[in-house]
Amino acid sequence: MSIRKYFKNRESYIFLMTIILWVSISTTNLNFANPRYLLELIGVNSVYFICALGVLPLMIKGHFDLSIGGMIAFTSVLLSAIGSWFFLPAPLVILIGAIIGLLVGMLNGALISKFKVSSVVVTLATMYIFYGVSKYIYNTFTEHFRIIGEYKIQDYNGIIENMSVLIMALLTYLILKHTNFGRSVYAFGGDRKLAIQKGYHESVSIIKAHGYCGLSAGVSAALHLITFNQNSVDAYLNIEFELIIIVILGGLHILGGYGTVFGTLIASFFITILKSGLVFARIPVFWHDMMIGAIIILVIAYGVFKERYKKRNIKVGET
Amino acid sequence: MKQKRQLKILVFYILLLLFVITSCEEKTPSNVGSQNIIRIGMIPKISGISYFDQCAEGAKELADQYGMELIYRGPSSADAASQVNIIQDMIYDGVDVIAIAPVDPDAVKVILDEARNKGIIVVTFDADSVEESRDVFVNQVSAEQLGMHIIDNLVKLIGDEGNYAILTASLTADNQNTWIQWMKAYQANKYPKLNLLTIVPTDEDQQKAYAHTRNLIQAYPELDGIVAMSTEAGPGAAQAVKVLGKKDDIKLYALALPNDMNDYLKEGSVHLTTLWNPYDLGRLTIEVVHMLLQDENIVDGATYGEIGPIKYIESEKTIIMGEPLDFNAMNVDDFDF
Repeated sequence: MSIRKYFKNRESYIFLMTIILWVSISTTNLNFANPRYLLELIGVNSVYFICALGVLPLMIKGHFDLSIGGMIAFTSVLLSAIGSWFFLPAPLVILIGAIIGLLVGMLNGALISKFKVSSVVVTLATMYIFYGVSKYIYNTFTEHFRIIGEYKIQDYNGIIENMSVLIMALLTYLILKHTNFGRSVYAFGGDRKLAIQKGYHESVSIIKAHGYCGLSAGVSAALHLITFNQNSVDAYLNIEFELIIIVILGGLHILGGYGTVFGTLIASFFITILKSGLVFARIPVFWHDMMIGAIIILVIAYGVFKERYKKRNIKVGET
Repeated sequence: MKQKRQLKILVFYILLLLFVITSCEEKTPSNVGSQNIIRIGMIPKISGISYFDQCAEGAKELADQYGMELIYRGPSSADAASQVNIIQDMIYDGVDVIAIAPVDPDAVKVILDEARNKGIIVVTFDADSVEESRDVFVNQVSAEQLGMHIIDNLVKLIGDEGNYAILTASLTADNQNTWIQWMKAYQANKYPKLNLLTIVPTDEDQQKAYAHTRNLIQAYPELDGIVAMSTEAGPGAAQAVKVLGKKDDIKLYALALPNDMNDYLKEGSVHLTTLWNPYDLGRLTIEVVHMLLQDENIVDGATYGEIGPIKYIESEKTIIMGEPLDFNAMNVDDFDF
């Protein structure tokens, strides 16, 4: 692929923007330019990376899950309950978290495909249920929940988070590119009728996509527990909105049918740099939220104009 | 035929709903008891965090002793709008007393005025509302005193020429802003070479506190100390200092629960912790409610329950519970809250 062709990709502009942002913040504070610190940043914000990757297939399908924060809360409460009874090493915590999340997510998917209603409506409802159940368990058995994470050792730090992001990215890539399920996701996102004609099973695809989203939430819950040794039911309240921004910045087509792992990773990184970078640039916090919003609009606007320009060029070429 | 089936389903759903609602109701003896029992609605800034849970526990215990019913309900995130909704619900529910820790003093003013017009007693605890909209404010510690206390302790840790940063709960939290104002005023006067680098909000969220502490430590190499001024920010910041292995370079000072900070204090990631007893704050709030209901006068310097001597500022209708407590690695095991 030639370089020129590469920069016509939808992902290329967010990549460019990320580099511009990184360079401009690094000029205000050289510490930021240290590549090691970038790796650390990924580790600290691993939950956002992983959940964005998990919700990607769902959003390509044109669905969404509003209960991600709820699933994280539910999984982390269950995990710490288990952890208060049994000794668990970190990798096992992640594995169990992934399984719990997968099951909960599949429940979402089953409800959606059974009732044939919008995923937003169903997950809005299950969000309340997940938060409710988590709070109930948390408040009833409070005294048990300080213990999980005693096994944690210094060396794990950062490595296990970064590894999880890497594995999740590879897994998502493989699923989207090389499985029947991955192809069905793109097919349903593009044209539902055509996908059914092609023989893809719709409810199976829905359940799998929601299950995968739940899995990412479960892994995130496990990572949060491993880092903090404490669970907090409200830690990821409203994480869904940030995920929407990330995945759309990453080049996803808002009506479904297009989206890539690479774009999502870069966009997660962009948001991470943006949030931490403003502290590095020593900008007073009162400006942060405004600047984050303004920069996101700038990036989206740039992408849209670029797209339009491209279309016009194609038309000119045709006539 | 089809209609009949739909009707059946409808009846089934109604019965199911009734069953769920009735089985969820808490069957406490106070519900069944006499009609004229006093009902208190207690509203924290945010539910599900240990600081306010401790307040509620203390309040509940004393309320039970006095034969009052305590309804404890808070928003799931520190959000003024959902607090207003909860107050509205409680007014409809017909509570006699509202005890609230407002997220934003101005946001709750109108609704608290409405409650008082309906004859409901309004008491604020932990954080204050606008003075005209409540009967009494039960303050844990005076803002001036705490501001001085924090700066003095900080100077003990980093010396009087250091650079420090503040992690606050949120930029609109009234009590935190007042403390910070007093800290700045006191520091400008007494330690002019002490330098406040920046203030970062953590929104009562450990993950944010953790991420921002890491950012601060990397972004400000000249940083000597961090003051984490919320019970959720403390553990997050301590975890960050621990992970980065900076416990000798960065002196962390937290306003946090000793139980949350116990391990961090012992291994040195946090050097000093200050707080008051939230359990006692809850108790004192109920004690004050009881006195207001009995038309007793609150006396400056008196001891109520085992709490005190308290300070009462008549002109501001404000009660101050007492001196803040300091916890370090040596004495932290003596406290359990």
